[in-house]
Amino acid sequence: MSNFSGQLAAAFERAAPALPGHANPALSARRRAALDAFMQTGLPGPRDERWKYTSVRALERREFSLAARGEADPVTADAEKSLALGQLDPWRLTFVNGRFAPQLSVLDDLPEGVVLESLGVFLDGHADRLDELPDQGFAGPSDAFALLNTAFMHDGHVLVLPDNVRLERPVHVVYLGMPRDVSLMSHLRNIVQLGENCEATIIEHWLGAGRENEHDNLTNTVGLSLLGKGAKLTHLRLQQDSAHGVLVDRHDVIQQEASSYTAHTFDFGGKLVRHDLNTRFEAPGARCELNGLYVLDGRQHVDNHTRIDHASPDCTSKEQYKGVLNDRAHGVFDGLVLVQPGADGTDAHQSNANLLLSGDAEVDTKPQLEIYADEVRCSHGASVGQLDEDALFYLRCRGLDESAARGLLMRGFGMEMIDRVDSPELRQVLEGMLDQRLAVFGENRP
Amino acid sequence: MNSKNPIMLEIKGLHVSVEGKEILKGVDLVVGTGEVHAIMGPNGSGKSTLANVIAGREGYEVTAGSIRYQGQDLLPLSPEERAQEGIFMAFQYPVEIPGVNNTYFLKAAVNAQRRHRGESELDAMDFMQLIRAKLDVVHMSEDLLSRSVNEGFSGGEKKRNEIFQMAVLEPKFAVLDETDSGLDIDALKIVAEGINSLRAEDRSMLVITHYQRLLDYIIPDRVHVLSDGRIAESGDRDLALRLEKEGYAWLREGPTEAAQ
Ligand SMILES: Nc1ncnc2c1ncn2[C@@H]1O[C@H](COP(=O)(O)OP(=O)(O)O)[C@@H](O)[C@H]1O
Ligand SMILES: [Mg+2]
Repeated sequence: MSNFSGQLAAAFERAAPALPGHANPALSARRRAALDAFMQTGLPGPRDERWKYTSVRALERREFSLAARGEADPVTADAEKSLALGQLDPWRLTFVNGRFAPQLSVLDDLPEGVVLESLGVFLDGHADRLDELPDQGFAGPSDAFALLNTAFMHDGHVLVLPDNVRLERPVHVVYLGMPRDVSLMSHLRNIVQLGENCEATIIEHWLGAGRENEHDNLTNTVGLSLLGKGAKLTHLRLQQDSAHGVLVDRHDVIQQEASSYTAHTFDFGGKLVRHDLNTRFEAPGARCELNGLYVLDGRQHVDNHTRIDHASPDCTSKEQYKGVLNDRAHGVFDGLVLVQPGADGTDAHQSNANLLLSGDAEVDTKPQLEIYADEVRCSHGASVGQLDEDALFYLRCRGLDESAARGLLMRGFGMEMIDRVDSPELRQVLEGMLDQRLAVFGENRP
Repeated sequence: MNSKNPIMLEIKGLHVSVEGKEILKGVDLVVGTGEVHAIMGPNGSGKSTLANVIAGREGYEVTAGSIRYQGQDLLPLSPEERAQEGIFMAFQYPVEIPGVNNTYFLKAAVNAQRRHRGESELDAMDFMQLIRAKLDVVHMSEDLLSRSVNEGFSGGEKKRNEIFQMAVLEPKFAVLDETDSGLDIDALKIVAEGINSLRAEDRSMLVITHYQRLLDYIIPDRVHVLSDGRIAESGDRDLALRLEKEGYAWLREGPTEAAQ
């Protein structure tokens, strides 16, 4: 047993009696089984094809304290201000260092029948609804982090919409990291269930407030979205973790007939980040759109794995991820589009485009199409390039100096992804975040 | 050859190579302040090369000769310094820049130039007022302002956008590289009117064109014919009319002979 595993085993024994839903023996057994399964495999290594370019081995040398339940850590006024999303007035669940912070959350005036609460509250109050808490997802064997998440999940968010509800305000879920004197590990589990013809916008937001924090924090988020017939979910994923943040995030989406799922993943922060975003069409006529933008410098490492499972006919998927990489940053894109036998009428398009601004920056891109059906329209492609010289000259001819011209082109590259977001208020927020990111872009980060 | 007006731009014995191949082989040209000169010539004669060298594009190596602008050596300046000093090139092929909003770009350009001149930057309100007033110059529709620079613009819209930018930036010396090509006759008239409205005593223009039809609308002070990297002939606008009739073929026999 590695030092890391030993640490986790001990942490589990300490934490188990206070984990939410601990009174429920079935849940406790499930947690323990997941921990045992993790102990068998340990953390993924380089021989695991899915972790070929992203090493999490460094985690084994860290001591982590488990973010348990209890009072949330204090939040500075500045950090509190950073929760705001421009003109938007969202419902909000804030988790500070992994702990639900009711005083920083807004859960009033929810429409009739809508459940929106923290997982801790949900499990304590509805242990009988445990069956509604789906376990690990469907895409291949459970991975190590999902197992750890099942064992330790201490909080998260639950959103359940009965049929025909359209949420007028977005739901903003913030994982706020405040500097602490130890390395923290948090395991958050999120569940979203939209009934037939529902409509909602969820903004998941990993936000590191303490750039001065010298400790690596591990955030492990696992989520599942179930979309009923005709339901429509817009899912923004804003990753502004601190320069020391390690994030492993997995989200699975299961879509019923004619449902629509749109994700916009923005990776601006973090030190080591891994996303797994998996969607599956359970019934015909559904569509999904996966958009992503990563803007990386210093030694940032961001890995986006996606999997779109066309398990039913007549579904549409559109995927585009774009990245700007400077310094020694490392980006990974691995996107699988799987068209199952019988999924005729599939329309699937996938692309990944990268700007490499430094000879030391690296990107590994692997778009994959696996097609086992006829009558499909599919395309995919990847590119790695530099800023367009003709465009740079054009801008300089109008009086912009070289660095301003470069900045404008990078901004344009990112704005193309922001322009895909429907809500003008959100686009404005994102534009501000991109400008904030680019303002310090390429300035020697650790 | 010498102009009666103070000299805006003076090119002497200019030789330019691109990728080791000599394109301009000794160009001499003097443009006085407030004057409009036309440069005509067959495809491949070096017209765009001349425009790009004036604008400062990398990869165009000046092997001999000089360009002086308002009495100063232009060649050491970067493209942005030239722009800030009042040089403008309307591109033969305007570049599409996805994701960069046209208004945002123009505001950055205007403010970069204002900073250079020691003027205060325009705020969003003043800037919008300025550009709305300039839209009329080339009858440009306002919705092009909120689109990405040139992206998905028709050929004519791109050319209008170039002249619109010129109207906003108010340069002292403008090189218009085949701004007429690809325009139908109505668009050509609008663009030509726009250019005419920007003629001013303190502004000079070098209008590059392959066809003389643009010169029916923009009456140049001088016409020069560029052939195989040299100015083969200079004259008044009658030269343009003659080119229209006789084509460029006579240039090869030598201009003096043909002129007899
Ligand atoms: N960037 C370049 N690289 C290589 N050759 C070039 C380049 N630009 C121009 N040329 C060559 O220089 C010559 C003159 O081109 P150009 O100045 O574009 O002519 P014009 O504008 O009169 O049609 C042509 O033979 C063209 O092929
Ligand atoms: Mg040309």
